[in-house]
Amino acid sequence: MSLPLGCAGSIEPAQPRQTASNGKRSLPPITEARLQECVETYHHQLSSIYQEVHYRVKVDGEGRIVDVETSEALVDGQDFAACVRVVLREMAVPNWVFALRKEYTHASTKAQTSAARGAIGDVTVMGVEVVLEELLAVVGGTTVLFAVVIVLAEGGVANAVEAIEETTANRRRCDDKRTACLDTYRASRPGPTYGSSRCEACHNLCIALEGEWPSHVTLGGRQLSCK
Amino acid sequence: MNEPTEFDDEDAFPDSVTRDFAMAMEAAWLKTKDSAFTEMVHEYKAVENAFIPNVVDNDFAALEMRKRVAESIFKSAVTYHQPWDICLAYWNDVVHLGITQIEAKCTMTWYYAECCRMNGKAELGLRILDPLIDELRSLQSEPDVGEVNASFYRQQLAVIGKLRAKLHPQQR
Repeated sequence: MSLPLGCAGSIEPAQPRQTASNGKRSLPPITEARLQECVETYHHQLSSIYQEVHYRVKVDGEGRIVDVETSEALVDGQDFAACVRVVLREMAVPNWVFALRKEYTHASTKAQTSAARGAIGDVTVMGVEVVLEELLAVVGGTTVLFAVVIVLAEGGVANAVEAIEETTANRRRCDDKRTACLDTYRASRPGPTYGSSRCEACHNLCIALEGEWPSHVTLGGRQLSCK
Repeated sequence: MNEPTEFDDEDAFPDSVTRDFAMAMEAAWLKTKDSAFTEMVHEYKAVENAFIPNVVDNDFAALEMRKRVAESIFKSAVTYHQPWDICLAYWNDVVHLGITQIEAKCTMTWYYAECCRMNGKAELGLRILDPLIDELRSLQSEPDVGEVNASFYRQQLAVIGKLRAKLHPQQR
C-alpha cells in the first residue's frame, strides 16, 4: 500500500487518511447501539436539536484504546459527553484496524522518516487516521451526528500506555492493602483531612509510593500510623 | 536526621456524623473498587447526597464533605485511567472546592500529574509539579520546620521527584 506522507519536518505533517473503497468503515454495531443509548438518555441536556460531535480514538500498537479526544466545545451536556467518551473508550477495536496497522507499519518503515512524525494534542504519534462512517442518532426532535476518527498511534503513546499499566498494577497492590487495613482498628481512625479515613489516606500515599504501603501519613506535624 | 517513629493513634473523629461519613466513603470504595468508573461516581455521589442534609447548619462540614467526595472521584478517574477530559473535569471540581492543606495539595497534585503522564501530557504535569517542589523546598528550609514536617517534606519531594523524572522522557 502506498500512503501519502506529510512533509518531513513540518510542524503538523499531513496524516494519511484511510477509507474503504466503497465508502467509510463503520463503528462496531454494539458501539453504535451504545452511542444511540447515550442520546436517548441525555438528549434533554443538549441545547440544540442538531449536534455534530467529533472524536478521535487513539489506538496503540497492540490495539488498545489509549485516549479519546474531542476538540470541542461543541459537545454540551456533561453527562452526555461522559457517556460518549466511556462508550468510545470501551469500544472493541475492529480486527481490520490491526491489518491496517500491519500494512502501514510496513509502508512507514520503508518510506517515513522520524522527521515525519506528527503531533496530536501533546502526544507524539506516527500514525494513520481512519475516518469512520458517520453515525446519525435521532431521538424525538434531537439529531446527533457522531464523526469518529481512529488514530493508529505509536511513539509517545507507548509511554502513556506504560504509565497506565504501572499505575493499575500499583493501585491493585494498594487495594489489597487497603482492604486489609479495613479489617484493623485503623478502619475507625480518621485520616489527615476532615471526613477522610486513615486507610484511605494510607492508600492515597501507597499508590504514589508505587504500591508500597506507607508506615504513616502526616498532618500538621503529627504522624498517623498506617501499619 | 533520624526519622520520627512515634505515631499518634489516639485520634478520633470529631463527631459521629463525620465518622459515619468517612465509613460510608470507605464502604462505597469497597463496593465499587472492581466496578466501572461510572459506578464509583454514582456511589460516592450517593454518600454526598445522604450526608450533606445532616450538616446543613455547618458550612465547614458540608464543604469538607464535598471536597472528600470530589477528591475520591478524581482519584478514581486517575487510577482507573479515564480519558483526559474526564480526568480534567474532576480535577477542576477538586480545585474549585479548594485545596488548603499542604498534605492534600501534595496528594492531589501528584494524582493530577499522574493523569497527565497517563495521557501523554507531560508538559502540563511538569508545569504543576515544579511550583509544588519549590514550595516544599521553601517549607523545608524554614527555621522552625520541626522533625515530623521535615520528614514529610523529604518524603513528598522524593515521591514527586520520581514522578517528575518519569514525565521528562515524555516531553517533546
